[in-house]
Amino acid sequence: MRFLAVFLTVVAALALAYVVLVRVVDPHGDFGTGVFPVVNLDARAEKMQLFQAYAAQGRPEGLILGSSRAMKLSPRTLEAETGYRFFNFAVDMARAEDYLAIYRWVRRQGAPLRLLVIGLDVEALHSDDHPDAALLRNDALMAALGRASLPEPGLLTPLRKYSVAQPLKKYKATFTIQYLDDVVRSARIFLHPGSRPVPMMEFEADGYLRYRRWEVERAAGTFRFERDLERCLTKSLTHLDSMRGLSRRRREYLRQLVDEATADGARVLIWITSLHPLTARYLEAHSSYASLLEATREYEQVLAGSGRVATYDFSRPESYDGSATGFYDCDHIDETNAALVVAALGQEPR
Amino acid sequence: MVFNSNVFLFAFLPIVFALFWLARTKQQRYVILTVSGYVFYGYWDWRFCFLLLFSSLVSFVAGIMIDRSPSPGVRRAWMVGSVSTDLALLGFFKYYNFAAGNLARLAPGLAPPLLHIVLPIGISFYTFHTISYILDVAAGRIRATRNAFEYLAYVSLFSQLVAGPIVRFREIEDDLERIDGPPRDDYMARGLGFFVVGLAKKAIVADSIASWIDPMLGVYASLSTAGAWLAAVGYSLQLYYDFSGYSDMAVGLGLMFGLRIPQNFNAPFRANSIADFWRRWHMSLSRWLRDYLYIGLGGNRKGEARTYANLFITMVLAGLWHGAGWTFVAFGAYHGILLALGRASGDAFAAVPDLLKRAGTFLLVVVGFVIFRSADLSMAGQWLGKMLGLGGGTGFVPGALAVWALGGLTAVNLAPETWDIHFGTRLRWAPVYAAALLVAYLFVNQQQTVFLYYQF
Repeated sequence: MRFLAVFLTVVAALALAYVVLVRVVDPHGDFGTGVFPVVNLDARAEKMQLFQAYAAQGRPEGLILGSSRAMKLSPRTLEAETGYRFFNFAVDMARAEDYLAIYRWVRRQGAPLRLLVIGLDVEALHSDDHPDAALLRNDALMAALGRASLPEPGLLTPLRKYSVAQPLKKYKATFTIQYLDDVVRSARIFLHPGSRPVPMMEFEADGYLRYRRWEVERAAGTFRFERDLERCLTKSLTHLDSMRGLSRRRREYLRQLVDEATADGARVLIWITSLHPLTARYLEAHSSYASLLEATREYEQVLAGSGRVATYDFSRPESYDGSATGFYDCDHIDETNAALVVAALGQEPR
Repeated sequence: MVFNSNVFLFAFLPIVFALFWLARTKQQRYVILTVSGYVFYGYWDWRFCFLLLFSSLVSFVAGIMIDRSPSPGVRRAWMVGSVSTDLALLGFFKYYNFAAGNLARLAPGLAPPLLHIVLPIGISFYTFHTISYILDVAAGRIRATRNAFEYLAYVSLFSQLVAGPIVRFREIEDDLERIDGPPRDDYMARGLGFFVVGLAKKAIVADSIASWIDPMLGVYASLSTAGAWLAAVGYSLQLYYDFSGYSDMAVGLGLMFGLRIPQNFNAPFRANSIADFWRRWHMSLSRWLRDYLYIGLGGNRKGEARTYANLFITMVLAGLWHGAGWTFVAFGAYHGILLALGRASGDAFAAVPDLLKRAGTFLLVVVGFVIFRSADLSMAGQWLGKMLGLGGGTGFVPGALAVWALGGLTAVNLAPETWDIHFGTRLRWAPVYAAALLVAYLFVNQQQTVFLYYQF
């Protein structure tokens, strides 16, 4: 057993050394070390910071919620259409609980919201009820949502009541090759500040997303939509594959959000987000996307039935006069389609 | 539960390991291995533990009855009863819907209804364990064990339960009999070495290749000719690294518990004929099929024509063992034909340089894996057609996959097979294994996937 003892001791020592390394470099800004540059921010955390800075200049009265599919909706265009100062608080992999948590957190910041624009993905009502890891580790949003209302799956769940469980989970999440790659990138930028590459994506002060790298490629004529198509389609399918219907819990979160927003005096617009026609066809062929979309439409109608919500079905680009060329990848619209979505939102809801 | 999951690595394995070595007697260790096997299995779906227990108990009792009975007729009855029970369970859970679905197409009026059947994970493997035990007892190759927990531990041994290797009782009996011995540092060191290499094969190589292959095959209609070849070679490498990685981990885990699990892979892509390939690929299955099916059918003792037929039947059943689908039947038939042709050709290829034979065998194997991986025969046809330049699409050919494929091909031809690695057992090697484990874990924690052979 001596061999095993030495082996385990070295594993523990190396793991500890790794933890010290990620704690010092902190490439995602998870630990607030602040010595090395942050190379990959969590959209939820980043938008919370942006919102506070944005709100300090003038309180937003309009809020855009949704997933990355809603990130290209321009707050400035919406402001021009409605007169309300807008902030885009769409975050990646958003589910219904994210919408509610973000709305409540924004309200706690004192924003007098008048208009809520929610980009609803079919997957936002996924039957798995698993909240995104980024939401789970965001204490402020979790507090806004109320921890008791969420199931928290995972090996360490029973330990959650002990304070050591959360930090452990936070450090465990750093043990990935991607995180190590970010550590190296952060260190490289720290040592050679000029080596920072064009970021894939970047948020402006009002939360609007810029796909910097794709914009550069489009300008240079080197952008190829089909380059990552297969991977993108498979990823979309993975998200839908295990979806067995609409989650009761998540429908309840959405209804609760509508209730709270309307009680606060805000108007709510919900639009089903758009997929590239290829993606829609692919998902229809390989998953229950068609029936899930229909169920989402039906639930949208239920919400609309209350008379407090305007609903739109923009699942297909033609429904808002968009086109297949207005996509950056298989499920993310570009600024052209996004502008058309905003224009269509201004028309009479169906 | 899978070997590359956090719950296995950080909870199940340490607990079972500690309990096992704290226990002193044989019986205690058998019980610990049995209970841990059922926990491991039940983590997926506890209800199927009863099926595993039933199958084990039937063969355990049958083994004793065969051993005890002086009458050949009675012995035969117990053997046939036990094997039939195992085959009936396997047939129902794995092939019922396949048969019913096909019958419905041929004769709708006669077909029984389709049922909602969940395929119990690992049923193909543990059924072969129990069948081999019964047949060995009946043939007098082993004595039936009287210790129920020894037998239950053998069938439910978590390291080999759900995806092999297919270990015969006689291959592990000696170690099971000496299971109350003290831990051995050399076994522990080699076990850790095997486990780490297996984990690295799976998490670093197989999963990285899979992240490119799966999206490509998700839209296989758009594959270009180059893409079709790359996907075919890539999948062959993925399957090898995935399954051989699993087998290495199983061997490593066995050694950590003092059990020597037999070799399952021996550099299969260096084979210079299809027969040689099957001596090197999933060796435990090949041996099982040879000893219990091919020889049972008469092997090569009943003339040339019958030998070819036996080879064909054995390989078709081997294909079907992998799954209830026509692609698996076609995969088996393809290899059956190749084996028969190889036998018929005699020394015709003797003058061909080894390197050419190896390359030719590899190409034939890759074509087989295209059929194996395809969701249906139509996909297989299209994929193979694209490899021949027919109906090639304009799909993107990922450069990263080409790099992985090139690296993988180099490694399978030049790097030593895990069994050829001389794992250092001195203390100074422990930090090397520790560092390798940590690197592999960075990949494991990135994205957890299941092993390909779990579906069989």
